[in-house]
Parts: sequence; structure tokens; C-alpha cells
Amino acid sequence: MNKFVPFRVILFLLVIGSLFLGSCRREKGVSSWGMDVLLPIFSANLSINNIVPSDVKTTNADKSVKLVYNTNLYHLNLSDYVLRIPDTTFSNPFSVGSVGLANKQLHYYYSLGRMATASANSQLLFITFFNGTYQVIPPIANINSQPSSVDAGAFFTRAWIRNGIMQINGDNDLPVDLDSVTFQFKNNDQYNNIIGTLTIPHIPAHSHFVDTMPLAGKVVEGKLVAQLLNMKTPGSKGNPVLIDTSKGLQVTMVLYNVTCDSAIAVFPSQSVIDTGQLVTYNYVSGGAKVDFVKIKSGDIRVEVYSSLPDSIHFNYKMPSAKSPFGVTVDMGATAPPAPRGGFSRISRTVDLAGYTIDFTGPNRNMHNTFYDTIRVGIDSTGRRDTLRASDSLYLFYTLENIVPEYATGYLGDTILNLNFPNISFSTFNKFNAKVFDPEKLALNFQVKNGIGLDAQLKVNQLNASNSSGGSSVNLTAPCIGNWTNIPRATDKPLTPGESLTNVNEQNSNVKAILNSKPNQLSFDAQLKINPRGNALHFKDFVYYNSNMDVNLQTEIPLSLIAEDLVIKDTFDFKLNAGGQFSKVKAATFYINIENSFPLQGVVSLNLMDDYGRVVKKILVNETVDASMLNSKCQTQKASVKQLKVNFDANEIELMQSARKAVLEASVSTSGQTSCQGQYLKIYDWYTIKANISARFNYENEL
Amino acid sequence: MKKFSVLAILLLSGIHLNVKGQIVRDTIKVLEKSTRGSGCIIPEEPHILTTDLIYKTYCFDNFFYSNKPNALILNTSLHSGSNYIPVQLMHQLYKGGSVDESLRLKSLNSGSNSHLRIGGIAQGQLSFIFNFFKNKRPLRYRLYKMSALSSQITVENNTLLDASLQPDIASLYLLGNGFFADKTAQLGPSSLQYLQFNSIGFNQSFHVIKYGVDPELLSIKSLFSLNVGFNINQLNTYQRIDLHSGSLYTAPLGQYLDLNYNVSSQSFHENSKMGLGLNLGIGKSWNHFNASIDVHNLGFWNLSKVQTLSADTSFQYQGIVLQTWGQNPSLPKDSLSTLLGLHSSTSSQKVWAPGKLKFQANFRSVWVFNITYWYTLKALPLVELRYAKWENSVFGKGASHFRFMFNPCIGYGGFGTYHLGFSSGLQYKRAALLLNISDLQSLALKNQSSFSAGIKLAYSF
Repeated sequence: MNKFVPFRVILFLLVIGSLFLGSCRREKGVSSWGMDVLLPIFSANLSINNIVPSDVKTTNADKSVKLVYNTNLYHLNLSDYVLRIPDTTFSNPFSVGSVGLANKQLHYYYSLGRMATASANSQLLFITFFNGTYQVIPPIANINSQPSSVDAGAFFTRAWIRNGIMQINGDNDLPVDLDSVTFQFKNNDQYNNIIGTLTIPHIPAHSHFVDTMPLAGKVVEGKLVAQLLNMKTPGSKGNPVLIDTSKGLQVTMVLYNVTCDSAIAVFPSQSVIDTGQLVTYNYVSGGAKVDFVKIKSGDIRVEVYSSLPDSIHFNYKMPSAKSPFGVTVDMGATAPPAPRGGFSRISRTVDLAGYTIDFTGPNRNMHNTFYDTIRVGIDSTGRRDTLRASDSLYLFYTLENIVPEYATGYLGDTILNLNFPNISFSTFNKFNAKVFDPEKLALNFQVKNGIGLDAQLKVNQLNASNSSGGSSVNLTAPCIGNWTNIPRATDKPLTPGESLTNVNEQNSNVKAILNSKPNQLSFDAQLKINPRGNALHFKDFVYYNSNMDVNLQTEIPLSLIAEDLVIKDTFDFKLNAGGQFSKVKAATFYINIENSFPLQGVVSLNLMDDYGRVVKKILVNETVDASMLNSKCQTQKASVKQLKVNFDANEIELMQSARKAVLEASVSTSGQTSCQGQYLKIYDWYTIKANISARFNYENEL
Repeated sequence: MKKFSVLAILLLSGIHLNVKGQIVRDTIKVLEKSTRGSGCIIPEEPHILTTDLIYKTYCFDNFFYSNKPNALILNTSLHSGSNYIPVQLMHQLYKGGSVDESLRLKSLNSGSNSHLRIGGIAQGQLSFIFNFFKNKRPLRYRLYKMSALSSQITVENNTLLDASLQPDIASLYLLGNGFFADKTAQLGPSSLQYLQFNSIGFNQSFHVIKYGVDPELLSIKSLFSLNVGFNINQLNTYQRIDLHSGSLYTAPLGQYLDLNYNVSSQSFHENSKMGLGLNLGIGKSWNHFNASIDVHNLGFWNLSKVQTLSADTSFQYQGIVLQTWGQNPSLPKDSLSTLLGLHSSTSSQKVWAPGKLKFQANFRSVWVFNITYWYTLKALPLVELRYAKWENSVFGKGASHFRFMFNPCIGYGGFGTYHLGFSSGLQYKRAALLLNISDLQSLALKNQSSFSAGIKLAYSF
């Protein structure tokens, strides 16, 4: 083998390797090639059902179509008139009235020994010398004692008593009867006012006795002085009896049922206010008398202001307000003691959403009236306070943000004057044409009554005018100036009542109104609510969503003669989705239109940028022929229009800046060779089919 | 899809190192070391047949002469191709710039409307060869003895793309559907699979020898050689799309498109999933003729969270449909998956590892014939004939440490069709470099459809 051959081999490898490695380098970034892409862009198959909003279109029995546009002249809803419940606050002041003191007991014991030494009665003193022996006790008079302190300060310091009694009871432990036993009670203060004197005529030996002494009107100190003023005994009547100086007269003083105008005391738990009341609520004018209201939203807020120096409990109940679960409004809280010379405050709120309030009162024979109760009490704190009967509580309860969902009763009677001078009216603006002549045009007054009450409408005047200076036309029709009955809605389910007053070419000047091309209306009318008063005896009702609408219903049958009726619409347009269209180097759009409407159209399609400038004219006054009609003036064969539009790279780039597509068509019925001069009906089976596809020269990249 | 496209081009225009060697004489030196301890007579040149795995681990593809037991081998390779998309087109697509329509048409027409196969396998591999049982006594049974030949630990990274597509799909991609105006493009059956996984392999080669007792047989006789081992495969990415059936009709002016398809796709993108693959090989020699058969990486992954999308639907697309006058035209609000009728689910699935079956035979260690079959792929069995001849005299006597090889080869199959190539190596002392280009015809003729190449570095110690 030639020894140089391997070198040639190595050289070959190097050359191949360099070629190989060189070829791996991406010289131009990406590779690209043109693709021929055919894509559907847009398609539509539109009948009149797709062109006209469903809420303005009705189809007649013969499948021809009628457009019905409603212009609202007046709208009445629940909050406008029928049932408005403004935020209302009811307030009630309450005085405490009286304060009670707890029943107290005071004890006092007069022993024989104390009587003897205190009264300085020699006979009695003599007898005590025989203590422990049996002796005959003779009659003794003028027995008395020194004043003794009785301390009730633990219970009260001073009380201005309105009512109450002091009961004196005790036991005569002596072996002899007692007669004319007289006690006296005095305040142990600087004035030593006598509270009362009590005389018990006879107390047999070894017996119990009870008597009372009124305290009404007295001022009683907590520290008292009790004194046995006088007493006598007939003695043992010759019988020897055991002399025991420790025995005597045991007395217990009990304060019963004491109520005070004022007191400085440790007060017991007690109720200071317990009352109920009827609250009458006035809702609306017109004498509405509501029986039941279901609340959609709102609440009741109760606030209590107290001047009492002690904590108070309050409890508010509204038995006539029931939740969906049958629970009544029942709220309570504790208010702190009032500061000296001021008031303490507490507030509570209950959400009334879903509640039903019975406004017929406790006996179901009233209206607009509910019943509530308030109770206020104090607790015994063990603390010494001053409580006065003149202390006050102020109670405020507010129905706020109340929105009724449903109400029944009598909703009142009134007359509403409806005078609206400038109502925008755009119905005829939709038909911008040289000639627009619909067959059997009508303007009807339609009243939809969603409220359970009777009503009547009288249209005084309807004026149609053009704000840009056209003529002004007053509607002349039989209904003008006459009352029209509006039936009430029926409940469960809610079914609105409806009245329709037909105003057409035969009984009015509607064609003159059409020809004036009005864009505003002036409406003057009266609406009478419940013209027969409460004839159904509180059977009116209203829902939150209940409305009463007075509409002007414009009926335009699509049986028409039209010339240059302009239809214009603007669509959003953005071609460069995802940046892919930057790779389109050229495009051909294929547009195919099949028209079965008996209308000839001259179509223009422009693309516009964000500033409304025309970026590209796609179609310029392209004529789409009307369909071919049969002898009944119905479409027999659709017309077909095919268009081909080419775009180069520059135009495609321009199109990418477009944001709106404006389609404008001028349509006429005159493009027909047959049925000339006749009204042409638009049937709901007429369609216009449009299809746009495109062939793109697309620069694919890798 | 773009990811696959890029990968396909990379594969098709990348480097291929897929050189297979034959038995070399130096193997005997190692055998001598392992058998002298037994006291047997060692023939000068025993015709030992090893398996393909043993070639890899021991003989270094017939070019690496060394008497050292240990070696490190770095191997990168790429085998790629298509049955008719020419390398010229791929070259152009990868190179960048405008791709001429005539080239696209010529490329598509060359397929004669047959199914398009396209794919590639890219592999990076580092192997450490040693003899784990170096000082162990061989296993004996009567007259038979099994000696450990070599051990190998291999770490490798594999990326694989395998696609079988209806030719119309390529036409749609390269020409657009305008080419199919008023025609139906067949989209299915087609399939595409993409895998990326790492492996670590443990292999052990054995040599089974029979000792003769007859004077005439008083020599050792090699019976066969064995290789056993396993791979731990870490799956990183798995994606598969099967378009069982499908068609696209384009209306004459593109007024509408009728599309129907029955498609399913599976994808796995979890962090990783481990699987196991077995390696088995057996070889036998008869005088100057050796043959071996190997199965490599026979195993699978049991995936528990395979995201599956499927659809069996048909619909007509008419562009943006205007339903009512005044409506702003817009694309459908439904998500793309809803529009396409896709159903999503997660399921468990068994995915076969992309193993291969290889048969190899050689005559006098010079003429080598092998068949490689990737049994999980759409590629054809790869048949190759190689002439392997070493020269150490080309550098003269003063350069005895140099050795040089230039081996031509011819083959057919794999991801492409026929191919003509060579492998060339240079060894200096214990280091060697091998370059392989299997598709010279693709470089020369441009209209050929496959390309494979690779580089291998080896060092023994």
C-alpha cells in the first residue's frame, strides 16, 4: 500500500469534517418557506330572527315578521309610590315611678329586769327581788322604758316612703297580761322625727301579738329609736307565778312592701318599667292601610338611655314581627349605671330581613299598627345607691333601611299627574331611508300593571317632535282625553294586568308622526290609583319587583316599501391575533353571499383604526341583488354574489392596524323586476348567507 | 411539534458514532493473563468469539490494541434518517434561509406516497472497563471452565425520536393545505414517539472453555462467550402521539375544513422514573468465523402518572360564525381542548425501553456483517457489511507506536435507506480516537435521506 494514501484519507476526512461542521452553522437564523394555506375566515347564515333582536320581533301567522319597539313613557315601582317605609324613630320616655325596698326585720326585747330598772316603777322593782320564786303579782301601771336604738342602717340609710307598713309582732313571755302597750318609733337623727306610735290594747300572758303601723309619707332613717312609752298589767290576779327577770316582751318590727319616692339604700332586684304599647306607622300618602309586610332588608335598632345610678336590664319585644322560623323580635341588654348627672346608653339591632310584620295590632282589627313591649329592671348590687322615682329611661326604636318584599292591605287611592316633556324616542331613527313606508303602522299605549291594585290612565297629550327642527305633531286618537281601565295584577303567581289601547292608521294620524321623523316625545297623562277606593277590602298587594309601566308600543310590520334604507353596523376587528398575520405575504379573500331577502343592497365594508380613519376599503359599493320573487311576491330563488379581493403584503400590513370593521348597506325594495310598487313582506325564513375564506401565502418558519 | 421538528433536524444533521468492531488479536493477551494460572496450554491465536457487548467493553471496536486490563471510553453517536426526506432538505431547514419550493416538492415526491419514517437516536456514553474477577478462580465443571473476561460500568444519556407519518402530513407542513384544495389529506395512521432517558449499566463477560483429554484435543477449546448484565434506566421524558386515523378535507376555496381524527397521546414529565433493562449475549467461533447475538436493554418503565389525551371526533370548521347581527365576531369561548374534543386522563402505563437485538458475524476478523433491530421503534432492521483492516506500517518503523485504521462499510435500513460510509481510527500508545461517518452518500448526493456519525475516545491503563 502506498504510504501516502492514509494522508490522503486524513485530508479527505478533514475536508468532509469541515464541510459537515460548516453546514451545521445556521447562517440566516431561521429557515422559512411559503405555504399555501386555505382557511375559512367567517361564515354567517342570518335570518330575520338573527338580525333583529328577539324582544322586538313577532312572527305573524303567515310567517311574516313584525317589529315591535317599546318606548317607556312612565315607570312606577314599589318605592316610587306604593310602599315606601322611611327610616322612622319612635321614642318613649319612662320614669321609674317608685323604687322598692326589701322587706326588713328589726328585733327588740324588753325583759322584766330592763322594764323594772328603766321605768323606775317601785312595784316592779320590788318584784324583781323575788326572782326565782313564786309570788302573787299585783296590778302595776305606768310601766315604760328608756329609748333604745334600732339599727336598720344595713338596709337603707334614708327612705322617702311612698307606700309600706311596719308590722310589729312579738311574744309576751311574762306570766301576766299586758294592757295598753304603747310603742313609739323615731328617727335617730338631729330632728328625732316621730315615725309612728302604736298602741296594742291587750296582750295576754304567754301569747303572740301582731299589729301594723303605716309608713306612707314618712321619711325613715336607717337608724331608729324605739321606745316603750307605756304599759300596764292587771297582775297575776292573786295567783302566785314564777318571777323570772329574764323574761319579758319580745318585739319584731318588719318593713313590708315599702316603695319609696327616693331612697338611699341597697336595693333589691326589681322591675322598674313593664309596659306595652301600640305603634302606628304611616307609610304613604293616599291613605294606605297596610296589614302585612314581608321585609326584604332592613333592621330595627333599639337604644336605651338611662339616668339610673344602677345597671339596668332592658328587654324589647315585638310580637308582631316574626322570622321565617316563627321567632319574634326579642332583644335584651344590660346598660351600665349612669354617670352622676348624666345618662348611660346601650343599643341593639336586629336584622329584619325575611321577617313578616303584622300591622293589624294585637286583636287583628287595626292597620299600620304594631304592638311592642318594653321591660326594664335593676339588679341588686349590694351597693348603697340613691334611687329616685324621678329617675328616667328613654327608649328609641328605629325601623331603618326597610325595604319591603311583599305587602298586603289597602294601598291607598290617589291621582298621579304624569308630565314628561322630553322623552327620547329612537324607534324611527333605526330606519334611515329615503323612503320607508311600512304597511299598517301602529302606535299603541300599553300599560303593564304588576301591582295588585286597580288603576286608570288618561292620556291628555302625546306630542312627537324632532329636536333638530322638524315638525311637531300631536297624536290624535280616540283614547286621548279618556280614561282607560288598567286591570290589577293577580297574585300567586304574580300575573301582571295589561291594557292595550290600539292606535293605528285608521283611527289616528300615526303616519304623520312617522313622516315627521321624531326623536323625542312629550307625554302628559294622569294615572288614578284605586279609583274605586278600597273596594276589595284590603286585598291590594305589591311585590318588591312590582312595576307599572306605561309604554308606547310602535308596531312596524315588515311589509314595506323602502328606498335606500341604510343599515350600518360596526364590529371589532383585530387581524393580527398572535402575530401570525405578519407572516402572511399575500392573501386572496373569497366572499360569497346568497341573499333570499327581496331587498337589493349596495354594500361597503371599510376597516378603520382606533382613530376612526379608514385603513382599508374591502368592499366599495358592491351590489348584492335582491332575490327572485314568485307571483305571490315571495322569494323563489336567492341571488348569489361572489367576490374576490386580493391583498399584497403592504395591504395586509395596513389591515393589521385596523381595529373596527364598518359594514354599511343601502337596501331597497325597488330592485325587483316583479311586484313593483307593492309592499314586500319579510318572512322569517328569508336568509342571507355569507361566507368569507382566504388563501394565504404564509411564510412558515422553523 | 416544533420541539420534535427541531430534534429531528438535529438528529438528521448531527454526528453519528456508531462503530462496531470485531474480534481483535489483542484479546488473547488478556486471555493469556487470565488462563495461565490454570497451567493449560494457550494457543497463539484462539478464535474467541465474544458478543457485541464484549466488543464494546473489551476490544474497542477493533482498533484499540492494548494489553492493559482497564480502560475508559468516551463515546458519542447519532444515528438518524428518514426513508425519503432528503438530507438536503433537512440541511436547508437547519441551515436557515428560504427553502425552495422545488426542493420541497422533489422531497415529497421522492417518497412515492409511502409512509414517512423519520427518527434518530443520539447517545452519549462513558464506560469504565476493568476485571472485577481478576484474581478469582474460574468456575470449573468437569472439563469445562468459565472465566471472567471483563467487567464494565457504563453511564449513558439517550435521546430518541421515532416517527412514522402519513406522507400527507409532511405535505401539509411543507406546502400547506392549499395543496389539498377540494381534496382530502390523510393524516392517519401516524405515530410519533420521543424519549429521553439516562442509564447506568453493569455488565460482565465470561468465557467458557473446554479442556480436551484426547491427545488430539490436548488444547483448550473455546466453546462460547457470554455476557450478562443489566441497566438501571432513568426516564426523564416520554411523549407519544398515535393518530390512529384522521383526515382533513379542504373545500375548494377554503370555505370550510372537515377534520376528523382518532388520536391519543401519552406524556410523562415527572421528575424521573426508574426502570430496569437486561442485557444478554452469547457468541461462538468456528475457526475463522465468529458469530454472536445480543439483546440489549430488554426492559420497561412502569409509569404511574402518564397524562393521556385522547379524541375521536370530527367537526367542520367554518371560521368565525356570526350567530346574530351586531355580535362582535370572536373565536369560540371554549378552550382549545374542548373545541378539539380532547379528553384528558391520568393512567398507569408500561413503556418499553428502546432496546435492540443485534446479530453479528465476522470472517477472519476482517469482514464483519451485522444486523441491528430496534424492536420498539419504527426503524427498519439495520444491515451492515464492514471491512476492518488495521495498518501500523503506514507510519514507518520509526513510528511503531502509531496505528491507523480505515474501514469502509455499506448498509441498508435503520431510519434511512442504504448508506455508504467508513470508520477511521488513530491510536498512539494507549490512547485512541475513532471517527465514523456512515452516510457518505448523503454528503455527496444531497438527495439521500440519512446521516449517522460519531466520535469515540479511548484510553487504557
